[in-house]
Amino acid sequence: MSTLVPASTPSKGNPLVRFLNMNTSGHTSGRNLPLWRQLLLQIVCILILCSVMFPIMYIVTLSFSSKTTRPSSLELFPKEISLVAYQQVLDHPTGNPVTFTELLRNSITLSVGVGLVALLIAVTAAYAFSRFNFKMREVLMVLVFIPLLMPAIGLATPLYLLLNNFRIVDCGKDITAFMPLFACDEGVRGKLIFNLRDSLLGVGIAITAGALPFAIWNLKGYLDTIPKELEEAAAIDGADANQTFWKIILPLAAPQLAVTFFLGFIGHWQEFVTSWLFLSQPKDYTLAMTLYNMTGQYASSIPWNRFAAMAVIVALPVAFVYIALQKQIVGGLTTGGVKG
Amino acid sequence: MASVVFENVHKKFGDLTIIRSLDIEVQDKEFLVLVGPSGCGKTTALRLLAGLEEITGGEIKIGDRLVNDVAPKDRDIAMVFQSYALYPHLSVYDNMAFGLKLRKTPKEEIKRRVSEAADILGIQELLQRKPRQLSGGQRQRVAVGRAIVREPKVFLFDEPLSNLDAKLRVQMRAEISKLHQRLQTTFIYVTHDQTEAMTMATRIAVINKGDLQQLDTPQNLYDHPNNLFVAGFIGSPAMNFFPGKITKDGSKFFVDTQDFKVQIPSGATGPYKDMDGKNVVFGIRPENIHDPEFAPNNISGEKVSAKVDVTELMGNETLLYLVSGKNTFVGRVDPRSQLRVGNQAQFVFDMGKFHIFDAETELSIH
Amino acid sequence: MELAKKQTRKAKIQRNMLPYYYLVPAFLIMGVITFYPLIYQVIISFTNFETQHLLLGLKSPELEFVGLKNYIDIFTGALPVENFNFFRVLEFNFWWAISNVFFHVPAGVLIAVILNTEGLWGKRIYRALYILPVVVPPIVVATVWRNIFDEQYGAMNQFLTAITTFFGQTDVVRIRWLTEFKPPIPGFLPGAPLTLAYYSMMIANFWLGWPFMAVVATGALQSIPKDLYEAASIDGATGSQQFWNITVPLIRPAMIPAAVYGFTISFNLFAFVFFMTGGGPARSTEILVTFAYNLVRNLRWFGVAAAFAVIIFFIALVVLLITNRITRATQNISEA
Repeated sequence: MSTLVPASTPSKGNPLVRFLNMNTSGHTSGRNLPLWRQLLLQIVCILILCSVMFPIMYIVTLSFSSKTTRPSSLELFPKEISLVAYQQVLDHPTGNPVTFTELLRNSITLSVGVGLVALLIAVTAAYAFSRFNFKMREVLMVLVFIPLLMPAIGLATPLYLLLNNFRIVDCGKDITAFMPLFACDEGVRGKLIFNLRDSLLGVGIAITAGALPFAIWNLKGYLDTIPKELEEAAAIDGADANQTFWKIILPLAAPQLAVTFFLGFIGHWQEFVTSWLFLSQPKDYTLAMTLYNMTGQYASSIPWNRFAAMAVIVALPVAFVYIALQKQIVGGLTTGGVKG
Repeated sequence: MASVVFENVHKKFGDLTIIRSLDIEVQDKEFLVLVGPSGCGKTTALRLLAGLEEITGGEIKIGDRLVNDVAPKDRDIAMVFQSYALYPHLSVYDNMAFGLKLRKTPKEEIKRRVSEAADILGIQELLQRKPRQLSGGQRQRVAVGRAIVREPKVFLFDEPLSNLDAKLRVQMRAEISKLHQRLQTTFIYVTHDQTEAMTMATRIAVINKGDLQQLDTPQNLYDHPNNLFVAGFIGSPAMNFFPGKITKDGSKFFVDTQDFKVQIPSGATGPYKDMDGKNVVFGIRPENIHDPEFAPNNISGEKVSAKVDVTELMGNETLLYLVSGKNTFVGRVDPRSQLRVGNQAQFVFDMGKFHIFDAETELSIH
Repeated sequence: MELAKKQTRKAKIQRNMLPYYYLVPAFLIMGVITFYPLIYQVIISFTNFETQHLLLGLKSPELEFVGLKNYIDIFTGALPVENFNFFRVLEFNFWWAISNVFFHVPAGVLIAVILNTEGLWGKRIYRALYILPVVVPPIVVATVWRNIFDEQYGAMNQFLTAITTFFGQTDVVRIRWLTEFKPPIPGFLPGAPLTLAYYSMMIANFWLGWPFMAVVATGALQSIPKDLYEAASIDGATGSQQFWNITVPLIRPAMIPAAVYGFTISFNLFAFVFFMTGGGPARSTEILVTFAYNLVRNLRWFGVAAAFAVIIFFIALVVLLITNRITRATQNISEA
């Protein structure tokens, strides 16, 4: 029975590729689809297509509009292609004193930085869990799994409190205090120069705390699929464990390292929980935070065409990464999903 | 170039005993095949020798050196895996050179050895390809090549042909035999396919349920199997077995299966002299059962009446599936035989080539 | 000989130690930034940690250990927060996750089956466009839909207005999608009022969710051998009989894990809910994670928030154990 349903086994090809390329198998035999059925199904498919395209067309149309007033009637196809909204977003994204370049830089720093660091640290641990049998294995694996049960906010709260203690304070009289190691003399309030909590570095640390266990599990799942014989062959060829890791396992895992990195990138690009909680200075804001600022109660003064342009800008890198790597990423997502 | 010794080797996985006690001496330059049904422990024995599994007890020696605790890389062996285990990210050249590079062999030397091995195997033009661009047979060659370049003392093969199609398997069989002659090194080869064992080995070790059943040359195994298992395992179609009793009538000895009775030739009764009434298993190979019309004259034949149930005409021979009472058996007869399904005939058993096994111990009585 | 033995023993110990070397970097860092904070969180969940303790932390002289007070306050609703009832939020949270999966999976399967019809024109184009929602980041989806559901300028009301105008009505449709508190179907879910905002979120998340299920279902559909359908049609099975007797049982092993995955994702769908409704109106669409976020970010009751996070952790644990059971049980079915 299980051989009939290879969808649950990742090795049998990528679901998205099959989703896109399927043109052979189907329900009925080789006979043609009756015309009335063809037309009926076409109507259904077009209705679905309309519902899928509706918000996309709406926001794209809005973003190409030059009207700064709010939309008074529904427009799903651009009447004009005006880049005013994009230009304004790039020039002056928010009411805060922060440039678009800074926002972009912050978003990229966080998403790329956390992705790389987590990967680097996770890969050796994933290797150990995947390939060695040792006494503490089960215990340590459960330990790695525990944080995955905690939603992001559950990790962000204690980190907020802990990272908040790391400050650099100008105590005056040319004395700089590095808290919590050195504090200013008692009674001196000093001037706060740097608070780890209120910095991109602090946010990065907090996101990494949650990203690491995920990266370890994801990579371990992949390393498990590398045949054991390859390592045995390497052992007989004369490789010690380190050489096997660097020369055999790591090169073989490279595609999955990339996938894990990009999955991380997609997630951290949209990261909001931690950054919105930690950061108070507009110069540190990310694109996701800015997008949030452009809706709802804070956004009464923001023209919707500018909001729409920002939405498109935030969506584009993710969409781009998805489309460029759709094979691997959706494959990874579904196998991850299948594995639970 | 070295001998290999298994001495009282045993292996357990938890409570599960895989190998009870294995004693094998492999001579230098020998082609030894470990054969047995799947799960019999033959692959485990090979992996113990390679150092991929830790030995539970006993001793393994390569040459004069005790290797129980030696890491695989220091045992001076090379292994060809069932799945080939080629490194997918390396070219054929780098696959073959990998072990040498790790051992810091000079570049020129590596080049020379790889090129030499590629010549032997006829894979020169594949050296720059990646494993996924190769066919099954080509991968097989590369896997062998990777072993050759190392110039090891012992070659280990773990069912290397089982992933190939039938035709290629026959071809590779011959090539591996040729390779053995050319390299003059000790080969230890694991397979579940007795044909492979028979065609390639200088000696065969038959293993079942973690025990060595018999270790001998292919011909001796075929002609003089030690026990029922070896008799049934070696040869295709398998030897026919008939449970029965030894009976004595004056100075004549018979095997009585209740459905038929055959006389043991008077020259061969020696071992059965004191066994009147003993429960035995009578065994005879299909090629020693003849169509009465085409039975050779110079044999001491015994007639057994049987009915033809199924016929398989192979062209160069004919297989007859026969029924005699509650016994079914196979005869491999002359292709000119006219016997067809439903025919009854007096088949001739060549009593110069029979086997008798103790029904209890399953050991051969001879 | 003795020396050799010693050396092999040394080598053995080294071999046994090796995995731990590989684990050191990850565990060192996770120890500091993951495990220690989690333990710290448990500790402060028993305190009255608030903003004034931020500077000195556990060393603050006024910080009090209040025992289980935070937990009790959360469960009894004694927190001085308007419209907060823990069990209502919990019920809504489960309902939200289940009702999402309830719509996403069948829709995904149905659309996958339609797109699997042999001879359907434009199959490839449909497939390429139908996965667009998977590609758009959920925060963008949520903000866009939030604007679509805007009472005054939103596309949804404009769309409905266009329809009613077509039928001769002159009134402008002004449905308060995200702010109306009165539930359209009173008593639909006992104990937790389902406001229009819930239905709006369902629509938006449906848009976001079904394409993923369709991708999974397509994979499963295509691994069903065609000859099964041929055999069934020879046996005289109609189209719908084939669907229920072949398609459904054979894609179930793939769809159940996908449904479980969808459930877990929906259950903790923070950014989407927070961006779209912020939990409103009157906390009617609040899920556990958004409430936890409010506790930290807006109310700054760190002690209470820590206790809440610990509770969420155990709820997630229970959910995991249940879903694992379901997945494993269905795996056994598929292998039997």
